[in-house]
Parts: sequence; structure tokens; C-alpha cells
Amino acid sequence: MNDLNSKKSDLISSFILILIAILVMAYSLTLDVPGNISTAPGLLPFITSFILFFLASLLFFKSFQSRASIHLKNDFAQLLNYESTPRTLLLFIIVISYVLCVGRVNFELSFEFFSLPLLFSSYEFFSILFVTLIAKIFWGASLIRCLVVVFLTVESLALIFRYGFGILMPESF
Amino acid sequence: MDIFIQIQEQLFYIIQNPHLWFYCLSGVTLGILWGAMPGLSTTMAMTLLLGLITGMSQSAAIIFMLGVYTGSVFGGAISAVLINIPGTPDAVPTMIEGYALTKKGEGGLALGTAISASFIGNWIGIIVLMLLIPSVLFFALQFRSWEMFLLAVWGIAICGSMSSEGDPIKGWLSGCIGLIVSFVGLDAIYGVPRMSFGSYNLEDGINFIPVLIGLFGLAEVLRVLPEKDEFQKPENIGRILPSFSTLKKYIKPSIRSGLIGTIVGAIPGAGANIASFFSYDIGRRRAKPEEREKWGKGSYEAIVCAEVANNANVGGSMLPTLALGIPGSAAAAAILAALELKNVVVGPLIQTENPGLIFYIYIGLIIANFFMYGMAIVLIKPCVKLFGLPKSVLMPLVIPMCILGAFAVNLNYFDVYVMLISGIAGYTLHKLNFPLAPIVLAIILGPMIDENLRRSLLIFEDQGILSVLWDRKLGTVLLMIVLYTFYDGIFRKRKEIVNL
Repeated sequence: MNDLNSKKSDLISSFILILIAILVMAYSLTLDVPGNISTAPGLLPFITSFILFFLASLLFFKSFQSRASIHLKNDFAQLLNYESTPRTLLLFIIVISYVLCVGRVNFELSFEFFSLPLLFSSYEFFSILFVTLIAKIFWGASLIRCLVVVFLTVESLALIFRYGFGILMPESF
Repeated sequence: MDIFIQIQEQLFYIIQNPHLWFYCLSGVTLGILWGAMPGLSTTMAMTLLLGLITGMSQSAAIIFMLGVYTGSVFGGAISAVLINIPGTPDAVPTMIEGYALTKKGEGGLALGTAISASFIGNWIGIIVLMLLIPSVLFFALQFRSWEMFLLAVWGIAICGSMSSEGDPIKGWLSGCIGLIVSFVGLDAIYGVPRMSFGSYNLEDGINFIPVLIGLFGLAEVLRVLPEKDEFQKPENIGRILPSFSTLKKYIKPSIRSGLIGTIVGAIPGAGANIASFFSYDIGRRRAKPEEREKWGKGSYEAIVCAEVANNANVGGSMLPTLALGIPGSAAAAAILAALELKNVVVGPLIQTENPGLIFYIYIGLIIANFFMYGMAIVLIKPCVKLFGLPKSVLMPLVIPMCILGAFAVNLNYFDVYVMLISGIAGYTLHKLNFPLAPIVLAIILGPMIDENLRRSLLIFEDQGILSVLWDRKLGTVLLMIVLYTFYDGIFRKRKEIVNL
């Protein structure tokens, strides 16, 4: 089973939500009150975080009463040993790196293809690179096959956005 | 009479602009193909295509999105019937019945019944929408800030209850998380920065479209891709269209399911899956004993009940979206996003702010429905070939679309980071069994709640509680409904959910 047992996951998530609620409540009290209290900018954040605190506490005690905390440590160990967890972590790392690379590195190459002016940007470069890597790992086909499928898809997408609808691409900034 | 003139005007406008037909047809085709692919949901299709509409005109973008919505809701039935994997969650009842028929060699006929049922369902949804929207708009015009605040709170509360599969507290917690996210940025009355921590990007607030793409696009990829691929070769489909006499037998369940689907669609958060399961269950109870025997083993009536309901849901979900600015489902939130991107102000003043738009949407839905009927028949065989593609090929290709979609909204890469964080948060929340729809709804309704609560508190400053309750009777009724929703969620006897 991949998911933590429902009650045990409730216990952890409610505890985290209680902490978030306390932080937001404390933060909303620090906000300026330019007019009177009924129009204070921190009023609704305070009320919402208070409700969050109340509901999360309710969930915490409900799951605590079901003795969910007893085998929590074993469940974590089980989760880490689950066969798809390393694949998930790997996917997370690749996706985060992909988004960061597209956001941080900007370049654009312009060239002519049969007298048609075309562009090849950092978005396309990193998309082809990272998505081919993901396809290779999870699809398992040959590198060339993955590269061809990804190249055709990314280029079609870029052509539709750039030339079809005139939408600017991430490398434009 | 004025209504007919307006409908006629919009119809002529669409006839005179053939490119709108093309956009509608493209939307329906993409929607059917997308919905037919196992694991790619209606909401995912709509959120990913939001980026594309930034380059379209207002009328083209609206008709395109209506086409995608109509097409993708039906598309889920194709894989459900042919390979026993529902393309969308609402196609599960269709899968139970349709696949049983496919094994008997009647897969084509089961699909044909699903196509006709979807066509009828869409019609019922559109007719109810056309009949009810004037009264809902008239009613909504009576709402002031206090009533708008209560209505928005009720929207989140009911969405939390309906989407949380037995534990409303988790749905409401999701709603609270969404509300807190919506407070980021400058406050609407004094311009005081809230939770922006000195960042200019955060001062602008968090746009709900990248969040929508992250929660329903990237999170799905992160969830589905690491799982082992299990795809099957589709069975032989045989004859497709059922005879008219066969369809005539199901008129009564069609009307009942259509009304169920439309009403459920109008309730915020209660999407097409609740509509199809609800209608399927009621259909089984109301079926004749000899028909009930077939239920679960391949019943055409069951397919009609499920498909009419989930397609009628499209029209139903448009009702609160257009009249109140409260989306009826996560997919309707994508329609709301599309309208917002094209500077359409939805809510009680939609007729004044955008004259003729509602009628354009009616016509758009009708055209999309006709295209859906035709394209569904044409696309069944190509879809059978598409099922040969494993998810591990399709899912990685969704990621560049998520990036482009999130970026195209404001041409700001900060939105891509918002999409990434939302995707990771959506994956985690899904694993922890928290529903995602209330988060999106709360982000959309957060500014409305904040502004209207503070405005009404200012108005009520010198009045006592009793006088407010007495003077604002509509508000008092809404307050009772909100309190009852919370009471019902906390204290009702919940069915034990057995984890299979």
C-alpha cells in the first residue's frame, strides 16, 4: 500500500496544519490596522487561521484517539521502502531542476530553415533534455526513440504557441 | 421575445465567423481525445489548454473551452467501455456496465448508447441552464455584500462536504488552505501587503490559474508517472449506433438522470462524478426488476443513467459559474479562468457588463454538443489506436505544457514557480486524502469573501445582531443554510468507507 494508513496520515497532516494556523494567526495580528477593527486587513486571515486551527485540532484528536500514533515509525519505514518512492523522488528532482533551468537560463538561437526564419530557445532545449530523460527512465524505450517523440512534441507545442497564436515563450524575459 | 432576438443575433454572429466553428470543432476533438486517454481528466485537459487561449480572441477562446469541456466529459466513456479503464472519474459507472457489454461483443453498441445519452444529457443541461439563468440572475441581484459573503462561504463549505468522500473536515481544511493562499498580496480596501514578505511578485497576489494547472496538471503527472503501466489492447467494437426504438425505451431514465446531473452540477464542488454515481444509484433503484437483474453485468439503461447525468452536469455547473461567479466544479473553475483571462466579469451583473455573452455561451454549448455527437462517432476508431500508447509516454509530455500554460497567463515566470509548488502540494495533499477542488474554489472566492465581509461589518457597525438578522431576511436564510451545512458535515452519521 502506497498511501499511509488514513488515520496516521491524518495525525501528521493535522499537526502540520496546526503549526501553519498558529503562524498565520500570529502573523495576522502583526498587520497594520488603518481604520477600525471591522475593516482590519488581518481580520479574515485571523478568522480563517483560527478555523483552520480548530478543524485541524479536531482531526488531530480524532486520529489520536484511534491510536494512530503507535506504529507511525514503522509506517514511515514501510513508505520509504515502497518500490515507487525512489521513482517519485527522482521525478520530483528532475521536474524541479527542469523548471529552475528554464527560469534561470535564457537564450534564443535564430536560424533559417528553407528561407523560413525559425527560433530555438532555452525553453525548447531544456524541455527536450529533461523530458527525454523522464521518458527514458519511465517509458524505458531506446534513447533515440524517446528523443524523437519528445523533440516532435516540444517543437509542435512551441510552433503552435509561438507562430500559431503569437504567445511569448519563457525565454522572452 | 427579447431572448429569442438575442439568441438569433449570437447565432448569426457565429454563422458569419466560420473560424469559431473551427475552434469549437478543435476543442471538441481535443476534449474527446484527451478525455479518452486513461489518467488524463477533464479538468487537466481544460487547465492545460488555458495557456493556449491567451492568444485567441474572446469569442474564439470561449467557444474553444466550451468545446473542450463538452468533448472531454464524453471522452472518458470510450476507454471505460473498451479497455475497462475510465478516462475520467465520472466514467466509472459506464465502465462497469460498458466493459461487461464489450466482453459480450457489444462494445460498439454500448459506446453508441453512451454517445446518444451524452448528447441527450447535454441538451437537458443546456435547456435547464437557459430556463433557470434569468431567475437565478434576478435572485442574485438582490444580494448585497453580506449575502455575497455568506454565499461564497457556503460555496466553499458545500464543496468541502461534497468532494471529501466521507470526511467533510478534510474538505473544509482544504478550503481554509485555499483561503489563506488567496489572502497573499495587497488587501483590497487599504492596500496593506499581506503575507508578501517584501516580494513584488507576491504583492500582486497569487493567480488561481497557475494553481489550477499545478493541482490538476502537474500533480497528476507526479502521481501517475511513477506507477507501473498497465494498458490493455482494446476489444473488437462492432456496430456503434443503437436503433431509435432502443433509445426510445430510455426516455424516462434519461429525463430523470438529466435533471439529477443538472442539479448536482449547480452545487459547488459536486462535479460530474457525483452526478453519474448518484444517477446510476437512483437508476438502479427505479429500474424494472428484469432490467435491475442486468445492472452490473452490462445494462444499457445503466449507461444511459450515468452518461446523461455527467453530461447534463456541464450545463448545471455553468449556472452558478455565470450567475454567481461560483464555479460548480473544478472543470467549471477552468471555464471561469478562461472567462477571467478574456476580461469577462461573471456574477449577477454579467448581462449588464457583457451583453449577449450568456446567449453566446448557450449557442456555443449547443454547437459543441452537435460536434461532440459527430466527432465521437468519427474518433472511436482512432481512440482505439491511441490506447496502445502507455501513460509513461504521454505523461512526461504534459510537463512542458504545464510550464507554457502557467507562463502564458501573465507572461511572468513567477507563475511557473507557483505552478510547481502547487503541483508538489497537490501531490502531497492527494496522498493525504485531502480534496483539491475546495482549494481552487477558495482561492477564487477568497477576495470576494474578504471584501464583502469587511464591507458588511462596516455597514452593520451601529446595528445590533437581532436587527441585522431581521432586516436582512435573505442573509438570515443563507446564514442558516451555512450553519446547517457545517452541522450536517460534523454530526451526520457517516457511512463506513471500506478501503479496497
